[in-house]
Amino acid sequence: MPVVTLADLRTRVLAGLDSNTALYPTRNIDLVINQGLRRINLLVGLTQVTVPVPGFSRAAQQVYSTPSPILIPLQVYNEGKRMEKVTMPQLAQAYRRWFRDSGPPRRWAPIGITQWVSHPADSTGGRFLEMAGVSTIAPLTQSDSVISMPDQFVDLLVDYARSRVMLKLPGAPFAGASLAYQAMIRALKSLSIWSGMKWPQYWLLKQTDPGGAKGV
Amino acid sequence: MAGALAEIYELLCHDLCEPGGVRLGLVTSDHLLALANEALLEMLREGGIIRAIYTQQIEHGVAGYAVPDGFMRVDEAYAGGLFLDFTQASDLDSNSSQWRVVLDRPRNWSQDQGTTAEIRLAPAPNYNGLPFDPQWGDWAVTISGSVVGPGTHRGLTMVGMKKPTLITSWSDPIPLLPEEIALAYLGFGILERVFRSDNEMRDDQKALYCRAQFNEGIALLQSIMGEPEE
Repeated sequence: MPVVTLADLRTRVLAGLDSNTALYPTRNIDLVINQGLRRINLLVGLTQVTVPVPGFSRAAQQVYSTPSPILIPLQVYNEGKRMEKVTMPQLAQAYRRWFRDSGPPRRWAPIGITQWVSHPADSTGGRFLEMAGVSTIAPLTQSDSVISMPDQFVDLLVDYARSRVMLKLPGAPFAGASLAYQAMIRALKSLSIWSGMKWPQYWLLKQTDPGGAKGV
Repeated sequence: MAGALAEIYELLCHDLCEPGGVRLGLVTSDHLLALANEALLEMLREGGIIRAIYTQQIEHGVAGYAVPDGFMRVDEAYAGGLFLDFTQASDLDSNSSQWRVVLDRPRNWSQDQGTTAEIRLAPAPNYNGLPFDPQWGDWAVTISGSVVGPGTHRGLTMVGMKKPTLITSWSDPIPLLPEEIALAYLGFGILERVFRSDNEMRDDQKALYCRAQFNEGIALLQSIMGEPEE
């Protein structure tokens, strides 16, 4: 997988901005690059990890905390076997006395992103539970900070940062640059791990419309 | 000043052409902080990713139970661990005018329109649960050092969205919302409010642009909570 440095990304972003570091200071570029990196990570799950639930399963315990460094839980495994993901209302309606059930954990219900319920509660405890999810991404803080990611994500990140930094421009120049967001949505729709996500729409208002572009 | 909120402020200042801090008087730091609180509240309320569990004692004949301060909204209620259906109070009235006086095992919960301070159980409980102090974090509670399950203590459990504390300084930690998500999206919620304000900062195109990206963040959070099993 290609490895790029923050300096590489900066150079590519500035190349499309006439290398105007007076209008677009390096620090400004760095901030939007890291913002774009975080968004891409949250949407496509660049940093997916699987980590053990500390302390194994515990007998009769129903509520567990999301283990660090997982930010967004995706799956839970009991002894390597994927548990079924359900919502808490689904669980409590399908298994009316869910809180009395015990046995090997078979399903999990998230309570937000920080906690989850195991069902049934483990009868014995000591089972090896793991959670898979998206973790935070390390920000690029130094010129030689590196990140490894596919070319298509690098291109997406550069395009995002270049248009995003132009938010400070007035009227038509900003409006023209903002259209890159439509292209970004189209690209991310096909790459996102969130298949059911309702993507926003963005379009140009008539008075600043430089080319009659339509919303996505 | 350091931290995620400080980084959000730094980028806001670049976006508003006032790198290093807002000083021109078009918008003030305090105003941006107020907008940050609004945007944070919207993101947490609409996204629903930070939830809490709260369990308290049920008392015979008592239908109304206070919602603790830490909640922004109650989404689910359980009596003795059993799921209660949410029902509009008006529907309860139309189905049975007796629900306010009949005592039985609670099957529904409702909230009077416009209030979030209390939920009501219907029918009102015909039993006393075990006495214990209200506790956060689980359906099970600790009574005299022992963990007691909901089927035994028969208390009322509410699951809902946590309410953030107020941000009062750009050096504050971000309440509740993970920094990674806040750094990706919160600034757009603040900028959208700046650009749709009724003053010289107004810019409808920028407001639309920022709103679309803020909505992307909210849609992402909703998707995280509602993504169906593959």
